[in-house]
Amino acid sequence: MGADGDLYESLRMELRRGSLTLGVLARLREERYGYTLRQALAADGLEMEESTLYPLLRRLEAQGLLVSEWREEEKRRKRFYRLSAAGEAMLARLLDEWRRISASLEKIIEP
Amino acid sequence: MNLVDEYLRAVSVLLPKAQADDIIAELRDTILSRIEAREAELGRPLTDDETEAVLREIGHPLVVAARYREGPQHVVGPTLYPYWAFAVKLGLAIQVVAAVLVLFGRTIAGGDFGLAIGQAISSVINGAFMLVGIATLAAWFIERQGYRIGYLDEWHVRDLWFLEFVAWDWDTLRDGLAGRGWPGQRRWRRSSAPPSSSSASSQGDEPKPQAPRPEAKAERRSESRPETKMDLPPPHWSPAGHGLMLITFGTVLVLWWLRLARLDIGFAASDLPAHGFDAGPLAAVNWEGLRATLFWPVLAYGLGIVARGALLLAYPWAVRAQGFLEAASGAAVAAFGVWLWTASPLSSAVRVDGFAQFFQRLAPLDGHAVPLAPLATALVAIITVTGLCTLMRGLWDLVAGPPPAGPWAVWI
Repeated sequence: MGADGDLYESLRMELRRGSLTLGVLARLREERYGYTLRQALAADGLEMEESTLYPLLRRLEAQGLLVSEWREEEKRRKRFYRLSAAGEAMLARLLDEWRRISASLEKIIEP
Repeated sequence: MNLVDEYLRAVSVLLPKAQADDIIAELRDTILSRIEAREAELGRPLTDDETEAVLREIGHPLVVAARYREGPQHVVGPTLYPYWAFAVKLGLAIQVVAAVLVLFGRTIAGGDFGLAIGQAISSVINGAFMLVGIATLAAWFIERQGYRIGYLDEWHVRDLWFLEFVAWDWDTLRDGLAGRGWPGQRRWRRSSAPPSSSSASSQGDEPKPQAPRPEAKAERRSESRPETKMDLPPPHWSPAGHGLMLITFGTVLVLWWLRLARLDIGFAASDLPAHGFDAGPLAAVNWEGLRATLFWPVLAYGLGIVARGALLLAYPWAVRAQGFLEAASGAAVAAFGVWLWTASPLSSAVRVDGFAQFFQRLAPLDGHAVPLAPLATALVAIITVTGLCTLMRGLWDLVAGPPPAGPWAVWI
């Protein structure tokens, strides 16, 4: 049963990996910093480890999909992220693809 | 706070300098936010143990820092791993065969069997470590440099026969040794017939090849499996096989020359008389001096061979460039042979002025010991001729360029 659980866990991770990026990009249409972003995602049902989230944010910023700035808030400097124009366009394309995949799968699962 | 600072310092030294401050500032904010949330939950400050538990959730500094690093997080990635594993297995098989041959040779030469078997095992184990090390180093390099290896992307079916060695059995060896052809030779017979006739039996209705082929006898052996017919160059023209061979040969040469690997022949020069050989004038040669003279040229030659093999794998179709390098390599070998013959410290021992003198020297000097000098003479002659042949072959490729595409009916 343990091995079965491991298998489920690894398949689930694989399934989630791409959709997490989508969730992060969509949530960052509004400006947020890491901690509140993570809370917002969790409230939407997309739990995400910080160890995954922060490197992902940096990668997306390096790819030009996000912009960030350091600002003071609640007596500490925080890094705020926001979707860039390029990120906006990319998100729209990815969402199209996501809906296509979803529709295909629905068709396959319940013919 | 002390714990958090210490943790962050550990992460920061592992991060790339340019981004470290930025990442650490963000990480600090994350950790502090988390601790505050936890404190709000409990209604009191966290103990050190509880703080440490939060840090442990964030992750070990090595892991956390690695997540921010660019580039592959592995030595041999899943793309390369099958090649790596195959290379290691092939190398191990060769080492085991070589060790068994050496063991056999030593035993029939009257050596101590127990000692010989111990050395055989230790040479295989040492070799295995070195093999895994070199293969891993190569993989590490490829993963990080982003090299595209031509062979990995543009392999050809005709190059795949050597994979079959994993399925070799005694029948394969018996057929091969008996001259009935090795698996690679037998499979890639070719005809100009269109592929549609491939289901026909390979015995009678196949068009006669235009040139006599040494494998003709193998052809007579009927094979039930249908012929593969493709517009490919003849099987001997296998850049991948040739490239791998050059790399192997060059690596062995360099390792041996640097004395990193021993070719355990089993006896020293001083033992020669006991084995029935007479070193003759060769005994007077200052071998260490010769090695010192030749150290850099031979090292450069070995590395050049490895580089040529790598180039061949990376650019299999650069036939003219390869031909040029091959010609240069052949010229170097021929020049080396000529130098050995005329000007080296070996010259007086190996040089003969005609066949008569050569045969004269072949006669045992003191009745039974085999004189080695003529052997050296022959060896130097072979080196020179091999160099000249390589030079010619290289020049041919340089002039002729890549083989034309199309059905390959003629064997060379």
